[in-house]
Amino acid sequence: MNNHLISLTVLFPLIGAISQAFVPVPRSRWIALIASLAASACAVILVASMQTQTAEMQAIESFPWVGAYAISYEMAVDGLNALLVLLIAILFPVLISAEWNQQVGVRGLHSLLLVLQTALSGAVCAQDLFLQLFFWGLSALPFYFLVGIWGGEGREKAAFRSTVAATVGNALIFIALIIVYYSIDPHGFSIRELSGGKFAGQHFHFLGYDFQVSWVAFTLISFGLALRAPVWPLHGWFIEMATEGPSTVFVALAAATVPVATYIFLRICYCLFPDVLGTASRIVLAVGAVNLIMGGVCALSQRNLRSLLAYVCLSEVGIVMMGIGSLNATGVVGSVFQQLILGLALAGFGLFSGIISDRTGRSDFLNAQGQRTLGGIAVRAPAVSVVAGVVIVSLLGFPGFGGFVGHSLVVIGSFSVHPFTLFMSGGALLLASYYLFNMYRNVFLGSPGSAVQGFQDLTLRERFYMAPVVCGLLFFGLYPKPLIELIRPTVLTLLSTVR
Amino acid sequence: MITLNSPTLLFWFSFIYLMIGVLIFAFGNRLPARGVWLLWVGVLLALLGVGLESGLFLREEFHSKVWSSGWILPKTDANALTVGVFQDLFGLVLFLIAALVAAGLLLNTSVFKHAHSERSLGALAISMAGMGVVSLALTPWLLFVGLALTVVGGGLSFAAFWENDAEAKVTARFFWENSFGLLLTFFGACVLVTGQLNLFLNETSVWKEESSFTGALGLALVFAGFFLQAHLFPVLGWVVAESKQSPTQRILLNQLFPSWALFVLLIRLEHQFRALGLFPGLGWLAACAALLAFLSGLFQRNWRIALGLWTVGGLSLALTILAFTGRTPAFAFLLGMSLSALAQGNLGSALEEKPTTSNAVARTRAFWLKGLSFTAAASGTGFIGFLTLSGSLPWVAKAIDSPVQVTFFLFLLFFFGLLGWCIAWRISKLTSASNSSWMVILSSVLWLILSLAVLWTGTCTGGAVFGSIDRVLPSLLEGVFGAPGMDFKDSPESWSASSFYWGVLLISLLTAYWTSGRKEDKWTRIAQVFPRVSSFVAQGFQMDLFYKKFVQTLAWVGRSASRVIDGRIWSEWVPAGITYFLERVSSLFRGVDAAISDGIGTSVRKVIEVPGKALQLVQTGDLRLYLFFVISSGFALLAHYIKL
Repeated sequence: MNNHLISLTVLFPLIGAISQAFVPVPRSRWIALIASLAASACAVILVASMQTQTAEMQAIESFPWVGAYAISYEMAVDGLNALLVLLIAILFPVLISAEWNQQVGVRGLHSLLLVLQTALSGAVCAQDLFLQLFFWGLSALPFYFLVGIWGGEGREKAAFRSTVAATVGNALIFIALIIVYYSIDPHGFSIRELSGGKFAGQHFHFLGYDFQVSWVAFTLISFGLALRAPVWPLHGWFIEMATEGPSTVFVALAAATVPVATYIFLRICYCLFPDVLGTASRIVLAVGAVNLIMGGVCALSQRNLRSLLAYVCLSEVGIVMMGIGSLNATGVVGSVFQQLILGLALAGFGLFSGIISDRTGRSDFLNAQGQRTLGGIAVRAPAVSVVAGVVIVSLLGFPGFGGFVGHSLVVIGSFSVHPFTLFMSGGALLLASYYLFNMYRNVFLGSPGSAVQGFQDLTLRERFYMAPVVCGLLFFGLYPKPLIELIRPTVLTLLSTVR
Repeated sequence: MITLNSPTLLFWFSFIYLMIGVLIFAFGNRLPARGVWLLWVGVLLALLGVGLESGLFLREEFHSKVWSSGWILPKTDANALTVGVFQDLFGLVLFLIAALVAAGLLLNTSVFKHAHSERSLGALAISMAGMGVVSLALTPWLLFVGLALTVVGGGLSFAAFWENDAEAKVTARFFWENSFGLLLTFFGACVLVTGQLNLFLNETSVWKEESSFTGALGLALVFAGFFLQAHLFPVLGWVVAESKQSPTQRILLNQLFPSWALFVLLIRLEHQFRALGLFPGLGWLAACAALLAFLSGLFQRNWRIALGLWTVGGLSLALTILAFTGRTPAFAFLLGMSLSALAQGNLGSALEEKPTTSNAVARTRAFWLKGLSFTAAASGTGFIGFLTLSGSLPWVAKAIDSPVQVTFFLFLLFFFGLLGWCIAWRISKLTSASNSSWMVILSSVLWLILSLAVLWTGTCTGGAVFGSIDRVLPSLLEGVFGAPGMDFKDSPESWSASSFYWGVLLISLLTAYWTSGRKEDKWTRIAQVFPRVSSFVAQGFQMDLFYKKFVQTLAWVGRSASRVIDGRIWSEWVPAGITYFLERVSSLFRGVDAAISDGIGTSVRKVIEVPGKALQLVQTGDLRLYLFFVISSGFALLAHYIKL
C-alpha cells in the first residue's frame, strides 16, 4: 500500500498555510479549514485502510533526501503511530474551528496551527531519525509565535521559556542522534535499519572514558523528550504555557504535542534500545508513578481551570509512561491507546475551559479565599456541562468511556510486573475523582455566580467542533476493538525484541 | 443447565431504558407529562420481557442463557476484558424487582412534583438501565458499566436542585464517593484478571490455590468498593448531609441501586470469597460498620437521615449475613430491608405533606399512612411473615454455637430493630392529617406486598416455624439460588436461636417505644445532656474532619510543590542561576579577552616600537646613516667570523 496518503496528510496543511496568506480574511478561514480537513480525510482513509493483525510497516514512502549522510524521506504507519495520526486528524480541524472568530491576526494564527499540524503529522509518521527530529524541532517553532502573539499578559516570558525548553530538549536529542549515527557502520538514520538491538554492547570513548552508546543515547533522548512531554519536575514552562497561552494553543500543546512526545519515546526506545529498556523500564515506571501522583497532588490545590488542566495532563502522562515501562503487552497496548484518549480528553477539557474563560473573562473557579467565582453553568448552558461531564468521566476511566480502556489495560499490565503501581494509579485516580468532581461542582453546579450571568450555551459552530471529541471518547470507549487489533501485533513484535 | 444462545432480549430492554433516560433528561420538558409514560412503557416492557424470558407465558422450562464476546483485547488473551450476558433466575428476579421498585416510585407522583421533574425521571430511567445491565452481566467488566450507570443516575437524581449550593455539594460528594467505590472495585477486577483468574460470573469452580494472593487482594478491593458504594462507615458523611430530594428517591437511586449493583457481584463471587477464607474478617468489618451506622442513626434529629443510616446499617448487615450465613438469607434480608426502607421513606414524606385545613379525609389518610409505617417497620426489622425474617433468623441460628458471635449479632439485631422502630415512631408523630395522594399509599402497599415472605420463601411465616409446615407455595429463593435458605429444624439450638431472636426484637420494640414513642424523645434528651458526644456520633463520628485535614494536607503538599517547583525553582532560581552563571562566564571571558587584548597590544607595540624608534631616529637625523652602516657592517663581519 503506497498511495502517498502520508505525504498528503503532511503536506496539505502546509500548502493551506502558504496559500491562505494570499487570500483575504473571510476566505482564508475556509482555506485553512479545508486544508486541515483534507489532511484529516487522508489520515482517516490511511488508518481505515490499514491491515490489522500485522506488525509490518504500512503505506511506506521512502526516497533519499540527503544522500551523503544517508538521510531519507522515509514515512510509514504501523500500530504504534496510527492512533496518533488519527488524533491529529481529529484535533486540528477542531482547533481551527475553535479559533474561527479570532479578531487579531486570524490568518497568522491559522497558518501557524497548520504548520503545527504538518510538523506533528511528520514527526509521527517519520521513520528516519533525522527527519523525525526535523519535524519535531519544527513543531516547537509555532508555539513561540502562538503564545508570544496571542497569549496573556506574561506571554513573552512563557513563549521564551517554552522555546528554551524545546531547544535544549531538541539539542539533547540531536547529540544522541549524532552518537547513534556514528556508532553504526554503515552510518544511517533509518529507524527500521537501526532497530533490533544493534547498539547492544557498542561503546564510544570521550575524554578518556568509555561509554555505552545505548545508555547515553537513551538518557539524552529521554531527557530531551521529558522537557517537552512534560515530566515532573521539568514541567515549569508547561504550567506557564497553560496559564498564559490561548486555550486552543494549549490544547494543541497538551493534547497533540504531549502524546507525540510519548510516542517518539516509545518508538525510539523500543526499536533502538531494547537492551537498555530491560533495566531502564523500572526507572520509566517510577518516573511515570511520580508524575501520576505529583500531577494529582498538585491538581488538588489548583483554583484555575487552565493550571488544573496542565496538572491533569501531567498525571495522565504518568499513566502512559507506566504503560510504556511495564514491558508487558497489555500495558504497552493500553499506553498506546491511552495516548489517543488522553489527547481527546484533554482537548475536550481545554476547549470547554476556553469557552468558559472567553465568556466569563476568567478561568479561576475559586478565588484566593477559596470562594467560588463561577458556578451554575449547568443551568444556563446544559450542553457545555454535558461535554464537561463526558470529559471528566472519561478522564476518570468510567466504564464505557475511552479512559476506561486505557486505564484498565495499563493497570493490568503494570500490576502484573510491579504490584506497587496499583497503589500509585489507584491513589492518583481517587485523587482525580475528588478534584475533578469538586471542580465540576464549583464551575457547573450551585447558584450562578455574577460572572456567569448571561452565559450562552454552545453555539452551532461550537457543537460542531465539540462533537468529534465527545463522540471519539464515547465510541472508542465502547468499541475499541479495531484500534486494539491495530496496535497489538506491533506491540507484541516490539516486545519480542526487548525480551 | 446452561445453553449457548444469542444476546438476550432483556439486555436490549436495558438499552431502551438508557435511551428513554437520555431522552427524558434532555427533552423531557417538551414531552407530554414530561415523559412519565415512557418510563411506564419501560416498566411494562421489563415485565413482558421477564415473562417471556422466564418461559412463564409459554409454560416452558426455564433455561439460563449465556453469551460472551471480547471487548478489550481478544477473548482468548490471558488479560482480556470480556463482556457477556448471563441470564439466570437470579438475574431475572433482580431485573423484575428493579422494575417493580421503579414502578412503585413512579406511582408516587409527589416525588416528581418539582419544577424539573424530567431530570429526576431521566435519572430513574438511567438507574434502571444500570440495574438491568447489572442483573444480566456475565463478567465484572459489564457489571461495571451497569454500576457506572446507577452512579450516574444517582447523581443526576439531584439535578432538579442543582441551582442550590448545598445540593451541589451533596451531588459532588455523591459522585466522588461512589466513583471511589467504582474505582476500587475496578482495581479489584484488574488484580483478579492479572492472576488469570476466571471472572465469568456463571462459573462455580473455585480459583486455584497458587493465585490466592491476587485473588485475596482483588476480592478485598471489591469488598472495599462496596463499603464506599453503600456509604458504610467510615464514609457516612454523605448520608448525614441533608438534601431537598425526596427520601424515597434518595434511598432508591442513591443508596440502594448502587449498593445492589455491587452486592450482585459479591453474591456471584461468594464461593471465591469463601474458598479464600476472606469472609470471616470482612464479615466482622461489615458488622462493626453496621453498629456504627445504627448508633449514628439514633442520634439524628431528622428522620430522613436516620432512615438513610438505617438503610446503610441494613446494607452492612446484609453483607455480614452473606459472610457468615450465605447468599440466600443475605439476599432475603437485603430485599426485605430495602423494600421496608423505601416504604418508610414514602410514608414519612407523605406525612410531611400537611393540609391547610384538617379534614376527615386527611385524618383518615394520615391514619393509614401511620399504620403502614408501623407495618413497614415490622417488615424491615424481621417480624413474622416478612422476608427480612428469612434472612436474619438463619443468621442468628447459624451463629448459635459461638457465644461471641451470637452475642454480637443479637446486639446488632437489637440496634437494627431499635432504630427501625424509632423511625416509625418519629414518622408517626409528624402529623395527624396528611394531604398526600392515595397513590403514595398504593405504592407503599406494593412494596410491602413485595416484602411478604410467602412470595419468596413459599412459607406464610417466612421460616419462623420449624419444618416449614406453613408452606403454601414452592420457594422462589430456593429456585433462584438452588439451595434452601436455611436448615431450621426442631432442635434445642433452633429453639434457643428462635427465643433469642424474638426476645431481642421484642426488647428493641419496647425500647423504641420507651425512647421515641412517648411524648418526650429520649434521644433528643440525651443529645441535650451530652451535646458534644451526640453531635460527634450524629455527624458520622466526625470522620469528615479527618478527611478534610487529609485533603488539606495533600493540597498543601501540592501547593508547596507547585510553589517551589514552578514558582521558585523554574521561575526564579533556575533563571537566576543561569543568568548568574552566564554573567560570571561572560565577565570571565570579558576579563580574559581584555587581558589577551592588552597583552597582544603591548607585544605588538613593543615589536613595532623598536624598529619604529630606530627609523624615527634615522628620520629625525639623530642617527646618522653612516653610523648605521658602520654598525651594520660590524654585525656583518662579526656574523661572518662567527660562522667561520
